Amino acid sequence: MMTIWNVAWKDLVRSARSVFILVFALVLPLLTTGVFFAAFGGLSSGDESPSIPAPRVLVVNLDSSGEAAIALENVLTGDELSNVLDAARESDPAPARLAVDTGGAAVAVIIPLGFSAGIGDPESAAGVEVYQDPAQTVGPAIVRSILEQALDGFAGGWVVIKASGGALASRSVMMDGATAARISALYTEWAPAQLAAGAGGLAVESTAGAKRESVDFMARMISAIMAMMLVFYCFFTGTASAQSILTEQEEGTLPRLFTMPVRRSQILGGKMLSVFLTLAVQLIVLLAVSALVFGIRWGDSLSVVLAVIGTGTLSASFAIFITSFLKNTKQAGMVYGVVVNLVGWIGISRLFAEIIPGLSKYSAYTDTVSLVSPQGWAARIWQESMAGTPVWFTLAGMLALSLVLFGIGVFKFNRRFSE
Amino acid sequence: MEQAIQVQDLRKAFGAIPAVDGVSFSVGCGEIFSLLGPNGAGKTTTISMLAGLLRPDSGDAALLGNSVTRQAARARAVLGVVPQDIALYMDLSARENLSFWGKMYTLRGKALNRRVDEVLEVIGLADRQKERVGTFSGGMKRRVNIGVALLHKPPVVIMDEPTVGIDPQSRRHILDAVKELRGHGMTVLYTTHYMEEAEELSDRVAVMDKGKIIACGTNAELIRMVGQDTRIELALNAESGRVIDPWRSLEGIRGVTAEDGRITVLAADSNAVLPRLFESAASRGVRITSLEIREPNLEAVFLHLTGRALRD
Ligand SMILES: Nc1ncnc2c1ncn2[C@@H]1O[C@H](COP(=O)(O)OP(=O)(O)O)[C@@H](O)[C@H]1O
Ligand SMILES: [Mg+2]
Repeated sequence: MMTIWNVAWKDLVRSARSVFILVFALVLPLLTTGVFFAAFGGLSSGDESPSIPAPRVLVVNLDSSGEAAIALENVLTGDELSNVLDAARESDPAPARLAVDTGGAAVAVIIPLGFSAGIGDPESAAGVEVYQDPAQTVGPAIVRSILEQALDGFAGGWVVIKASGGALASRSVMMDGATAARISALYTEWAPAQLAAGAGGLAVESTAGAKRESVDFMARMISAIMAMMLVFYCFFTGTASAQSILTEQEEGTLPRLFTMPVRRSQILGGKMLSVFLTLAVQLIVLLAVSALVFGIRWGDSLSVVLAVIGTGTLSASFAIFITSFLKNTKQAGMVYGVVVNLVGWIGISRLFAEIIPGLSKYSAYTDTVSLVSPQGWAARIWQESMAGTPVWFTLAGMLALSLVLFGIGVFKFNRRFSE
Repeated sequence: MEQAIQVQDLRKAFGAIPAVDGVSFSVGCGEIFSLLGPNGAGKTTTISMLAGLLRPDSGDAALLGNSVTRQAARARAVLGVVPQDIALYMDLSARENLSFWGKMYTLRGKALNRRVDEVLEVIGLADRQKERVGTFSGGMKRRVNIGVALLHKPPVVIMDEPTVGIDPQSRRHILDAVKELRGHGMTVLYTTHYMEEAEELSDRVAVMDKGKIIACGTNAELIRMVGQDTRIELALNAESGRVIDPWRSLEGIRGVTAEDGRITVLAADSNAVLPRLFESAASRGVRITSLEIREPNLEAVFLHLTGRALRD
C-alpha cells in the first residue's frame, strides 16, 4: 500500500510541476469561463449588488397617446428597473438608432404607433422594435427579457378573453364579438394601470421577475460554461496523467521500477491512484475557485461530493481504458487529441443545448445522445446537482460505466506488463 | 568462493535474430566482471534477463542463488541495476529522485535519508542535490543514474555501459566509484564496449560478440591466449641498417622490422628489452629519438578472435 501511495505521490508532484498539466487542468477552464464572465460583465445572484453594467437603452414611444404604450414606456424608464437598465426617452427613432449605431446606446426600443390599439389582438399586434448593437449581447438580452415579461402581461388580456370565452362556451353561452371587445378593452385598461402603478402589484412583480430572470439566465449560462470546462478538461487531465504510464515506459523509468523489489501491480496501482488524485485536486480547485470568483452554485454539498466522485472516477477510468490500448506517446497524442475531443464534444452537447436559445429544442435529443460518451454522464450529474435534482441514478450509471472501463484497462495493462 | 552471479546457457531471440545465443558465465562474490563487446553483441539483452525485464527463451540465471525466473522477487531484492539509458525523473531534483527510488527499494524514514546523503556523497553531487536532474549535464545525470542502483547497498550491481557519451571527468569519477564498490564487497557486472574500461576495472572479462561469449578470463589470461608480443616502435637519428642486425641477435627479442625510417621491435617483455636496446644503440653512436610501447590489449584480443575492431 505504501508503495502505491509513493508512486502516486511522486506523480502528483510531477504533475504540479508540469506547466502543461497545470495549464490544461486549471488555467484553461477557468480562463475560458473567465472570458465569458468578463464579456457578460459578471453576474450576481443577489439582488442588491448587480455587477452587470446597466445597458444604455433609448425608448422611443411613437404611440404617445396610447395608454399601454405609455405604460410600457414608464416601465422601461422607471425606477424599478434603474438597476438593470440605464434608460432614457427619445422622441424620434432616427437619432435613437444612430445612437445605437455609433455606440452611444446598446439598444433602442421603438414602440410603434398603434401599439396600444393592437394589444389584445395578436393578429394585428404591432410589434415593438428592439434595435440593437450587434456587437452587444447581454444588454439586448436583458431588454428583450424585460419586454417579453411586460408584453406577456398585455397579451394576458387576450388570454383572459379566450379563457372567459371558453368558460362561457362550456355553459353553452356563446360570447359575441362585442362582449369580447369589451372584455379586451377592460383588461387593456387594467393591465397597463397595474404595470404603471409601480407601487406593488403586477408591475413590481413582473419587473422584478424580469430582472431576476435575466440575471438567472446569465448565472445559468456561466454555470453551464464552467460545467462544460470542468467536464471537458477533467477528461483531458485524466488522459494526460494516464499518459505518464506510456511516458515512463519510453523514458525507461517504468522498466527500472520493474527491476526493483516491488510488484508490478503495485506500480500500476500507484499510477492509477495518481490519475484519481490529480483529478480530485483539479475538481476541488475548479469548483472552489469558480464558486468564489464566478459565484457559481454547484449544488448542495452532498450532491457536489457525489458529482466529484462520479466525475473523478469516470474520467480516471476512461483515461486508463483509452491509454491501455495505446502503444506509445506518439499514438497517444493523436488518439487523445481526436477521440477525447470528439467524445468530449458529444458529451457536453447537452450543456450547449441548455444555454444556447436556438438549440434548446434539440435538448431531448442531446440529453440522450450525450450519454454515449462518459463526458455526457459527467455533464449530466453536474446539471442535476446544480438544478437540485437527485444525482443518485446518474452516479450509479457513472460508477457502473467506470467499473467496465477500468476493468478492461487494468486487464490490458496487466497483460502488457505481466512478469 | 560463493558465486554471486551464475548464468546458465541463456538464450533470447527477437524474431529470427538470436540476440543472446547460449551465454554462460559466473561471477564470484566481490568480483568486478566485465562483458566487453561491440554494439549489438547482446550485452543489454543478457542484463535485461538478469534484471527480470526479459524472460529468457531458455536457460536461467541466479543472483546469490536466487533464480531470476523462479525466485524473481528475491533475485531483484539483492540486485541494483544501472540501465544503459538514463532512467530518472527529469522534473524531480537529484535528492527527490534518490528518495523516491530508495522507497521503491523499501527504504523508509531516517534510514532512507541517511542513505540518500551517503549516495549523494559517493556520486559527488551533494552540493547540487536540490537541483532538478533535467538541468544536469550528461555526466551528472549518469552519476545520479548510478547512485539510484546503490541506494539499498545491493550485494550485486549490474551496470550497463554507464559511461557512454560523457566527459572525461565524470567518467573518471564513475570508474573510481566502481572500484570503490569492490572495496565494499559488492559484486559488479559491468558492460562496456571500451576495452580500456574493461581492462582497468575488471578482475575478469568476458568478450562477447553476436550473442555469444567468445573468450573469458583475466586480462592476462586473455592476452596470453592470443599470444601477442609487445610492440616497441622507435625512430633513430641514423640509418636503421646500423642496428637492425645486432638487435635481432639480442636476448628476448622476437623480431625487428624497419620501414620508412621507423623500426618495430617485437618482444615478450619490454621492461627487459628496452635497456639492451638503448645500450646497443649507444655503443654504436646512434640515438633513439622517439619511442612508443604498445602492450598487447583486449582490442588486439577482439581483433584476433573476430577479425574486426571493437568499435566499428
Ligand atoms: N526489443 C528488441 N527487439 C528486437 N531486437 C532487439 C531488441 N533488443 C535488442 N535487439 C537486437 O538484439 C541484438 C542485441 O542487442 P543488445 O542486447 O542491445 O546489444 P548490446 O547491448 O550489446 O549493444 C541486436 O541485434 C539488437 O538489434
Ligand atoms: Mg546495450
